[in-house]
Amino acid sequence: MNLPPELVAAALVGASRAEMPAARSFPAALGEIYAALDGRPPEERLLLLAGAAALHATAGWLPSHAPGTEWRLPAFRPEGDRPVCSLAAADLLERMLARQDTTLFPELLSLLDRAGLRAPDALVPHILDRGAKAPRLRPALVPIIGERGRWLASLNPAWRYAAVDVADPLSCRAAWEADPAGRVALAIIVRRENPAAARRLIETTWRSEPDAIRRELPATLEAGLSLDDEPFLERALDDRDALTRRKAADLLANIPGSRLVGRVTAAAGDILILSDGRLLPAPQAPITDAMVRDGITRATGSAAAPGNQPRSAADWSRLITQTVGMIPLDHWTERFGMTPEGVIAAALAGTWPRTIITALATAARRQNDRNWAIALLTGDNYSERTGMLLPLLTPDECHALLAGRLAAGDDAGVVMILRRWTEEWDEASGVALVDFFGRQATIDPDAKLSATLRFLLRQFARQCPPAVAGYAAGNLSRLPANKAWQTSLAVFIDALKARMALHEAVTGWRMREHVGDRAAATPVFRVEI
Amino acid sequence: MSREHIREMAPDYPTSRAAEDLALGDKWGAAGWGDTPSGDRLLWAEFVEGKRAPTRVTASLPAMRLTCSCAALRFPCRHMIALLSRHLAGTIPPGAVPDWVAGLERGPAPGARVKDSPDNPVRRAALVAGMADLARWLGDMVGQGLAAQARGNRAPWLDAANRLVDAYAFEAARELRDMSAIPGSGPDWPERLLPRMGRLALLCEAFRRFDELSPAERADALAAAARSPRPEGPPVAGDWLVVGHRAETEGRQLRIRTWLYGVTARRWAVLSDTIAGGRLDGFHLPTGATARGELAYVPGAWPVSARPVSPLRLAPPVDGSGTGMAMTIDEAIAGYAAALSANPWLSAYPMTLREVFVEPPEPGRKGWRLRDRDGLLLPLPEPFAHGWRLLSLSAGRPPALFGEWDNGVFVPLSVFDGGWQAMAGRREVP
Repeated sequence: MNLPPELVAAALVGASRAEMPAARSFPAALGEIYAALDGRPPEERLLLLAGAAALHATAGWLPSHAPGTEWRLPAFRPEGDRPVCSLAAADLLERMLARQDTTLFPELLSLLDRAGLRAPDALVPHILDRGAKAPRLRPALVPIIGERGRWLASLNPAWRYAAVDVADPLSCRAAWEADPAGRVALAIIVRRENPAAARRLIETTWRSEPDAIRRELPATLEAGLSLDDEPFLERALDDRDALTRRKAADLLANIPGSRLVGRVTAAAGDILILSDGRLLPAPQAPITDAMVRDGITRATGSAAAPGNQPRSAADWSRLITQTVGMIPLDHWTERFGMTPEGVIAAALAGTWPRTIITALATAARRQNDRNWAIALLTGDNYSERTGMLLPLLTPDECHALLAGRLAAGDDAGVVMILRRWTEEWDEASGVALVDFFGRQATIDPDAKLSATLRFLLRQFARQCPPAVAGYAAGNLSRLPANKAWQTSLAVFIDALKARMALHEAVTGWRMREHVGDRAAATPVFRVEI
Repeated sequence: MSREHIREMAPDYPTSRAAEDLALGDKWGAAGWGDTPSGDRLLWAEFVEGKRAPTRVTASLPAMRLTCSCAALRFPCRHMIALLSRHLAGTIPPGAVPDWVAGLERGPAPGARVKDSPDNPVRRAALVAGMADLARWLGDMVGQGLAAQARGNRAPWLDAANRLVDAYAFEAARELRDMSAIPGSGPDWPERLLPRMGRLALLCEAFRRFDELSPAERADALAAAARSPRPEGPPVAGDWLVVGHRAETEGRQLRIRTWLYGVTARRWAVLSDTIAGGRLDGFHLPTGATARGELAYVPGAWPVSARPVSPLRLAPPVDGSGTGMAMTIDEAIAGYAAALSANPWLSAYPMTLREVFVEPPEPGRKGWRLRDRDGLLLPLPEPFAHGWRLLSLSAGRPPALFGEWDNGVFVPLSVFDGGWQAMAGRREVP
C-alpha cells in the first residue's frame, strides 16, 4: 500500500503549511476525485485523497509472479518411502513428542523402525525439531522421518543433521563441520553404514575437539570395531586426556590381534604361574611407561616406591585384572597345556580365585569367546563376577539358563541373570519370572534380596514381553505383600500395560497392511473444473 | 461430534493439551448428561481444581452452546473440550439434569443477543455528529502536521476514541485505538498511518452525505463505524460448512469470527461473536463440521455478515469439495477487488485457495509465501509458526487452504487434509 511520497511529506509537515501535491503525482484513476475535492479545505483534501489512494492501491494489488525457472524448492520424491504408521501409533508419538514423559519414547522409535514404518506427515517437523534440540536421539529419530523428513530437513538449516547423505563423503563432512554438538550422533549414524567413513570424520577434527567430546567419540567406534581402527586408536593412546586414553586402550583390547594386546602379552604373559594345579600370581618386572601407555595402572603412591612393584593386595588385584583381562585366553591354555575348564579349576583352587576369575571373564567378554564364557559361568556357579558374559549367550541359551536357575531355586543366580540380560525375554521366561517375582513378594518381604529385586522389577518391566501383561495383572495384583512390594508390582503392571498399548499400536497396523498408505488413501480436495 | 471435530475445537495448542490432560485426569466432580423433551442433549460437569468453587461447564448438543465458569479468556476453554471428549468416549453417565444446567438449550447466549440497533433516530443523530467531530479532529491532526505525533503520545488518540464511543461509533473508536500505537513506532510509521487516517476520513465523508447513500451503502457505513444493522431480507436455509475461526482479544473480551460456506447456498457467511471472559457462554461450531439452519444476512453492498435465525445445529459432515469455493490466487485477488469496490469498508475477506504450495523463506531472508500452480505468490504472516507443518503436509500434493486476506497478507485459518483442519490448535514449530 504505497501512497505518493509527496502526500506523506505534506501530511508530515502539515496541510496548512505544505503545498498540495500536484494531480500528476496521483494515479490517473484518481483524477476525477482530485478535481471534485477542489475547493475543500487543504487538510480535508489531503486526507480524502490519502484514503482514496490507499483504497485504490489495496483494491488494485496484484500478486507478484515468479517465473517457473526460479522454482527453488528441490523436487520431493516419495518413491520407495516407508508406509505411514497407524493412527494409534501416531497419537502416541504425538503425545510423547509434546511431553517430557519419555520413558517409552526410545522403545516406540525402535519399534517403528523395526516395523519399517514412518511418522505421519504432520508430525515430521516436530520430530526434526526434537532431534535438533536433543542430538542423542538423532540415531533413533532419523530412520522414521521418511523421505518427506529428509526433504524438509534439506530446507531448514537447523535440521541439516537429518538430510545428511551417508553415502556422500562431502555431505557428511559439511554436516560434521557445521554442527559440533551433533558429531557424536552423526558418527553413530555414519558408522552403521560405513565404518571407515565414520572414523575418517572423527579424525578430521580430532585434534581440535574439546576433552569432553574426545571422551565420547571413541565410544562410537564400538560398533563395527576392526583392525582398521587400530592406527587411529593407537594415536589416541597418547592423548592428553586420561579418560580418552583409557577408552582407547579399552577399545584396542577388544580388537583381536591388535598390537596393544601383543605388547601386554609380551610384557605380562608370565603373571600367572601354575603350581601344584593352582594358579598363582608371579612376581613382576617393574611396570614400564610403555605399559602405562597401554592402560596398565601403576601401584598407588608408586612415585616413591622402588621398582614400581605392586605392594598392596589392591595393587596386585588391579594389575592382574588389567593384564589378564587383555591377554588372549589361548595364551593360558597353551602355556599351561590345559582346557579352559582346567584353567578355571586351577584358578578357583589358587590364592586369588575371585580376581583371576573376574580377569578371565573380562578377557572372554572382550574376545567374544563363547566357549570360555560358558565354562566360566558354570565353573564359577553363575556368580556376579561372570555376569558380564551373559550377553555372549544366544537368547535360547539364556532362557534355558534362567529356567535351570529357577528350577534349582538359585535366587542369586536368577538375580544375576536379571541384572545382566539386556534383551527382551520370551513369553515362557516372562511368565516364569512373573511367578518368581510373585513368590519373592510374598514369601519373605524382608529378605536380603528384597530391595534388589524391587529395583530389578523396574528393569524387568522394560524387558518383559508385553503379551504377559494380562497374566501379570491377574497374578500380581492383590498379593498379600507388604506396601513397598505392592507399589512396585502396581508400577510394573502399569508399565507393562503401557508397553502393550505401544506394541499393539505399532504392530497392529502391520496386520491390517492392506488398508494401504494413508497418504494415498487421503481424499484430495476435488477441484471444480 | 466426531473425535476429529473435538480436536479442531481448541483455540490454541496449550488449551488442546490441557484439555487432553483434563479428560484423562481425575479432577472430575459431578458429571452427567441428559436428554430434554425437545431432543437436545445436555452435558454438564464440575471440575474440582484447587480450593476455589468447582468449575462448572455445560454443553448442549447439537446446537453446541457451551458455557463455563472458568477464568480463561479462551473459547472453547479446556473444560468444554474435555467434557465433549469424555462424552464421546462414553465415560460420562446419564443423570437427572441439575437446576444450574436446565434451560441451557433455550434462551439465547449473551453474545448472540441482537444489540440495540443503530437505526434508532437519537443514536443516528449522535453518530453523525460524532463522525463529523472525528473528521474535524483528523483534519486538525493533518493540518498541524503528523511530525508532531512522532513522540508517540497516545493520549489525544484515546481521548478521541472515547468521544467516539460516547457517540455510539464503536467500530470507528476501535480503529482509532488500534491506530494510536502507530505514531513513532519505527521506520515509515507515517506511511502506515496516513492510509488508515485517509480511510477513516472517507468513512466520515460517507456520514456527511449519509442521506445521499443507497440503503446497502448506509448499512455498510453503519457496520464500519458503529454496529451492524439488523439483518433484513429472507433468511437463507441450508447446510453450512465451518471453514475457520479467527479470534481477537480485546481487553477482557474475545471477538470471534466464524467463517461459513453455504454448501447449498454457494455463498460465504461470517458470524461475529463477542465472548466475555470469566463467564464464557456462546456457540462454537468446530472447524470442518457442517451446521444446518437458517442465516439472515445483514444488508450491505457485498453481504457476508450474517446471524442465525435460530441456533445452527450440527449436521452430517460434508467437505465442501465440488462447490466452487476453492479458487486460484488470481481469482481470489480479483474477487477481493470486486468485493472491496462494492464495500470499501470491508475488513475481512475469505479466501479458499486450491492447490497451493507453501514456500519457506529464501536463505538469508524472512517471510513464508504461498505459490499456486500459475507461479503467483502471496505473502504469509510474519512470523509464521505453522509453515513447516504445512510444508510437510503439502510436499508432493499441494493442499487447499482457507484464510483471511488481511491488509496484503494471507492469514491461513485452516487446511484441507482429508477434512478441514484448523491451524490454531496445532503445535507450533519455530
